[in-house]
Amino acid sequence: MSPTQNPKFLAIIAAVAIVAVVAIALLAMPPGGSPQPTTPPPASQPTATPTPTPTTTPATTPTATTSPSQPTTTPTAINSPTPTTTSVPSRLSGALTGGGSTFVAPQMFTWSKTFYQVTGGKIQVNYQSIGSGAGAAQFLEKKLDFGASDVPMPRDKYEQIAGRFVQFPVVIGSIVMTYNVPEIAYQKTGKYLNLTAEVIALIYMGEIKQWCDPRIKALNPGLADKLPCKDIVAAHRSDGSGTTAAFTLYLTRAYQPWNQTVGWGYTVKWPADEKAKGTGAKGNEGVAQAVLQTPYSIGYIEFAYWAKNKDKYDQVGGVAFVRNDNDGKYYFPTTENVAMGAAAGLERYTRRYGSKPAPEADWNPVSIEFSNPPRGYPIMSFVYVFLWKDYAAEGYGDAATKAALLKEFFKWVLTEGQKQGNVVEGYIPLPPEVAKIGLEALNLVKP
Amino acid sequence: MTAERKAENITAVRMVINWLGLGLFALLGVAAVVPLFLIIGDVYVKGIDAINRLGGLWHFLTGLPPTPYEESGGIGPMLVGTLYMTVLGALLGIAVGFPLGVYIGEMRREKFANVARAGVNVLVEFPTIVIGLFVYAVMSLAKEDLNLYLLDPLSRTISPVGGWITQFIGPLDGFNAYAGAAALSIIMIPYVALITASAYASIEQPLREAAYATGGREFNALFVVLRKAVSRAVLTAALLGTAKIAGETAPLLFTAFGNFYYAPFTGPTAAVPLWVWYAAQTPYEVQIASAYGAAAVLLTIILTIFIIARIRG
Repeated sequence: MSPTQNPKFLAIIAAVAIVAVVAIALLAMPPGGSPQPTTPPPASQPTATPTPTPTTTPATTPTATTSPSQPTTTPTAINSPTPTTTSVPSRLSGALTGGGSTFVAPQMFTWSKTFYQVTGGKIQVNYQSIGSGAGAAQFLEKKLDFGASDVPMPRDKYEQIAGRFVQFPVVIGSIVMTYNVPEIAYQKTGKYLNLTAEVIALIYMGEIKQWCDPRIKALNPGLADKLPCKDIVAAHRSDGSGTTAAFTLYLTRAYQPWNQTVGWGYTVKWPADEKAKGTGAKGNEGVAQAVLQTPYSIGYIEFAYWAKNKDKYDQVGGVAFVRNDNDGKYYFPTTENVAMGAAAGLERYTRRYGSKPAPEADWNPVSIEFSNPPRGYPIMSFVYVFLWKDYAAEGYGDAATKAALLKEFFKWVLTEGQKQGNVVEGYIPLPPEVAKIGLEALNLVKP
Repeated sequence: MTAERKAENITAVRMVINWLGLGLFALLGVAAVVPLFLIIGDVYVKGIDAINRLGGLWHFLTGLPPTPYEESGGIGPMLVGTLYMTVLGALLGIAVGFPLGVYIGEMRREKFANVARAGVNVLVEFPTIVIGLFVYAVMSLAKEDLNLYLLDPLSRTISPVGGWITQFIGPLDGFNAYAGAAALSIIMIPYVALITASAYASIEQPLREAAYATGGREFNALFVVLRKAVSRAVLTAALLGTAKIAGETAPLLFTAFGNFYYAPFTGPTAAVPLWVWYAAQTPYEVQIASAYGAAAVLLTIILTIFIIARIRG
């Protein structure tokens, strides 16, 4: 090897060495980077932890859950309702891996990080948005500790693993109808459009082709003279999505002809694409952009994508009041109205089936019963979490710790996690009676 | 007279056509380069602004990613994961790709070398997500045996070294950094192999004869003497291949999987491209900003490698 050659190799080796050193240094820096036994957390912890959960109003907490200021001394209290092992939680630390629904990812990450801070960096819950379908599949493959999905476990899969797993909702999403019609933009008129399931369905079926259609005018007397005779561009998702499933399920429930012609699912064939001006876009962000950029368009998107860009929509159009055909009232997509819908859906299910939905049950009928509820904002969707009942029997390594961690995390999610400061803008917390189903589900998970 | 004038005219016309043609090519060149600078400019303008808003460069490079509620955050775990997997993937890619390239380039007359060349040519065009799925499938099959017979005993023997070793070696999860690195290396191997092969193939015959004529072993002739003739090309190939894999998203989806935290490389591992892909799709400004910051960091890494390749190559 000649001397001219050496510097090159030295440089490469040096670069690799530097990278490795930096990597190790970075790894060593953060708190709780690994499950290695570290010294007990020092006094600096309490100063850092009170910030993440600003809404600790202890009076409203039924069970004495987390007291975030002293994570090191009180973890035994966290698990108090499950009397099995009081000694485990105090030493509880480790990592969980979950994945699935893209929609719930920002919320799941917020819960995860707040919980990470509340537990003093001892519990890492890693959640990746790989899509609802992949989430269920990877959960069934035992590659994930828990799965999350916009729809319940599909019936065929449910039948294969019935009795071995539980599913329960963790948060609610609502779907809003955004539109871009400059003539009647909220900033100009101060009014939002009124829509009904029938009109929405007819637009996406390509039957209502123009904004000045008498059926739209009839719902909006205040805007009737301003509605332009322009073709409606019906924006929808081009990829398979839980949003489409929830939206089409609503139309199926609320407008009979939709059920006969289109039906519902992750993807459907949109008649508007052929008969009128339909257009597909990828992801919620794709449809949101399409509506903002295309004059005379309408699109269905998750609440958060509208709420974060409310001003932009108000400039070109707005978001629609949607009529609940069951009580005849128009509802704006507010947290209260959606929560009202969820509670009403649960009531209706309980009346029809005689009991609340069980965590072990097939939730497909449940999700249908929740759609188009007797009152409240009618277009909503739950995000479901799947857990195994017996992690040891399913072949997971270190099953006892895993089960304890999962119980701990989801107990927190269903109680503290539903409080205002921990629910991300755009998501709607579960009504307490729905959250209770999840808490019961956790009791079925074998410790 | 007239013939002369005609000839002059023809020359003038030709000159005009020549200028027009050259101008057209120059325009095409500009058109090809402009998007590059627009992208770089856009990413850096938005990215640097985002990094400043999210708490400064150091915090951005080491901190945990921001939730929609937070105002500061970083891409620490992602950066560590990307660096680790890229370095591993690149080393493995060079270790396999270089000898393979020598074989394909120098042993052209062997039948199997042609088969290998065809295979490598196909592999270089493979959709990277397919490579990710392949590694995922292999990992699913091999994981349990690997853990049972190799990694469990190994981690017990090396445990006295200290707790830090569990960050790198131990029983593997279904998703881990090594699967990610393997997927990246499979993307890199054909890249390095093809450039090495063409570099070796372009060595002039007298030089080759001289190398063999030194009387050393064939190994030395190939890997020491002739390597020097092509080392620049090979180094460039290695660096460009590294730059290529550093920015890959698709092969990491089901191999490294992604993570929000600093975690052992034996489990799900974060990567910068995965975070960019996720965060850019959210409606939350702070996460979109962090995606731009992450893109700027990633672009810096790739451009640095690229510039080194240009200078050295």
